[in-house]
Amino acid sequence: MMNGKPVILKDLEKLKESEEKYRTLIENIPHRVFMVDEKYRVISANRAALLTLGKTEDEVIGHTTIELFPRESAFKYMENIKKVFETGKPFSTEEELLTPDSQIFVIVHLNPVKNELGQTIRVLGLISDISESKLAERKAKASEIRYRRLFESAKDGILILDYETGTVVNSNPFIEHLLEYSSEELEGKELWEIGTFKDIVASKEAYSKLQIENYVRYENLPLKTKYGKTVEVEFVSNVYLVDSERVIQCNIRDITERKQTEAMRKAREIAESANRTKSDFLANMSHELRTPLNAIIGFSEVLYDETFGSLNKKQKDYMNDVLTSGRHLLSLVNEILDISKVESGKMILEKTSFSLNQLLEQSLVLIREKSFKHDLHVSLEITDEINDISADERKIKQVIYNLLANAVKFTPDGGKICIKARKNNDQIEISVHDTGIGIAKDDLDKIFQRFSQIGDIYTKKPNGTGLGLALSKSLVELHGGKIWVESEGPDKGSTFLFSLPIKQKAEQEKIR
Amino acid sequence: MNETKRKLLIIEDDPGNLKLEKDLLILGGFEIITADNAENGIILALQKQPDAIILDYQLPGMNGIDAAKILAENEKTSHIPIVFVTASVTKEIIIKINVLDWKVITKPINTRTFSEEIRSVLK
Repeated sequence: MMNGKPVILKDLEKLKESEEKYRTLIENIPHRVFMVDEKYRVISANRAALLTLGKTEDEVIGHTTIELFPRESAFKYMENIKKVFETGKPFSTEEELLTPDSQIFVIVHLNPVKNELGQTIRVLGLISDISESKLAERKAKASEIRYRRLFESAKDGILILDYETGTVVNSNPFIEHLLEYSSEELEGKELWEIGTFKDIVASKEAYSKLQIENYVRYENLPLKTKYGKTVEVEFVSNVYLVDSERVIQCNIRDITERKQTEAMRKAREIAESANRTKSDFLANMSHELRTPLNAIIGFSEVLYDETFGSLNKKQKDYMNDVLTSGRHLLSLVNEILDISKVESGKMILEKTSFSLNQLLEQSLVLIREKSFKHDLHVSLEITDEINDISADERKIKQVIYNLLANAVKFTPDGGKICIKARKNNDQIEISVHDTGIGIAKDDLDKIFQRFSQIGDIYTKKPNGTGLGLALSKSLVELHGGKIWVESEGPDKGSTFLFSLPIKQKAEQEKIR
Repeated sequence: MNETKRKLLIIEDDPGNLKLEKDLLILGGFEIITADNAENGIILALQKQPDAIILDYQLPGMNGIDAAKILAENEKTSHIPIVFVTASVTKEIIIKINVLDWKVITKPINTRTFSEEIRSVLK
């Protein structure tokens, strides 16, 4: 104690000297350093720390945390400092700091500064900026959330397996939908143990292949569900690294639906191609039949006309029969071709806007000669002017002509034929009424069927093709219309009616 | 009139049809030359310079439209009117023919008007 004083003085000088040395060092390092006493007063802070706070040395030194920081954080900081004073142990904490120009993430390391008695007399604070890594971490977290959502909402089953053991580490919710096992039932188990794979040997082989090649893909793998149902799946596994650890991801896609669609598509293709073949065949046949018919009809016409010399009565009569039969055969060929076109979807409506009134008048001209010959009274009653119907003019004319020709054919001499046209909301209705032989009730339904016909009243022989009404029905229906017949019974006449939408829908241009 | 008869070339592979058309046109006062395929028809057209060519669509070998195109592109025959007489009445064929503004008569032909229809295209 006697010679203590000078020693102390010397020590103090030494201390001062070393303090000076350290102060310079601390002042200039880029890290933020500060020191507080037990009353939470800042007794020193280096330049970097002051810069971060955006304050001068005078504003900081001697001031307490509560004066330097917003209330809430100040109390927290005081708690932390207090902890170091009490325990005498270093303490680190992550904080968000508001600097004059931004917000930074930091780690504050608080270290006790002790006296020779081991008592903590000050706390030395070191602040390191971890903003960059913090931001990266936040990004990673966001991306993790995104991928987790993907994983959870995927419409594929996803399994994460341990590379070494092949046990399930994680499974997404869709797996349960697919395999009927819950995540809990799957996790920690091997897929073989569960009995998912129908072919255990093959799947084990696949697993070894996966371990070698890091990738396997099965386009069509049957799996067994919990309740024994078989699902066909596409199974893709690959191996990837997470934190230098290998994991296996399996993506399992239910292909039952895809397979069904494929099968349906194939069936449709076959049907379509068969239909094409059929209509190509009919188009060709129609050509092949027309060529000889041209010669048959042409030569018989020339003979009948006596262009190259006269015929006797019998010869002329027979020639007429050849000509009539030839023309009959020709209309059969034409109508079969038309019907096959409708059936194969190749009948294309060429729609224009035209006047129905004009069309009806033109159609009457076509039967004028015959109706005159049989003394039939033909009348036309147009209730509403219909000048802009949108339809395939040629085909509607074909229908009207067909109905008119039938009326002429089945109405005895001196009878009446009446054509009416009227508007009915957005439809037009056309009717052909005759005072002819009528139709028995039982036959009303059959009359639009193919080859359903009754004999001509004059010749008592069938002379239609039996396809006319069937074709008319198809043509009207192609336009989105309806055709029907009304008759009180035999000898009571009949009325054929059809309705058409005045404006055609665009998508009806081609109907299969 | 001491004019020479107008000369027509018929290209048609079906003998019955050929004979019918030929006889009707002879009756109509034409001189007729014939070929039963497109290739021979083109050679005849170049050599004999007919006033019109009557052409079937479906022929063995080259079809009628290809033949008509060759005739239309050759300066020696491009002036000769072409009439298609065809049993193939599919829309595609009619469109193909119409594009080049050729006349089409569909089979069966009307024997009463055939000659006059052909005469109407002559220049």
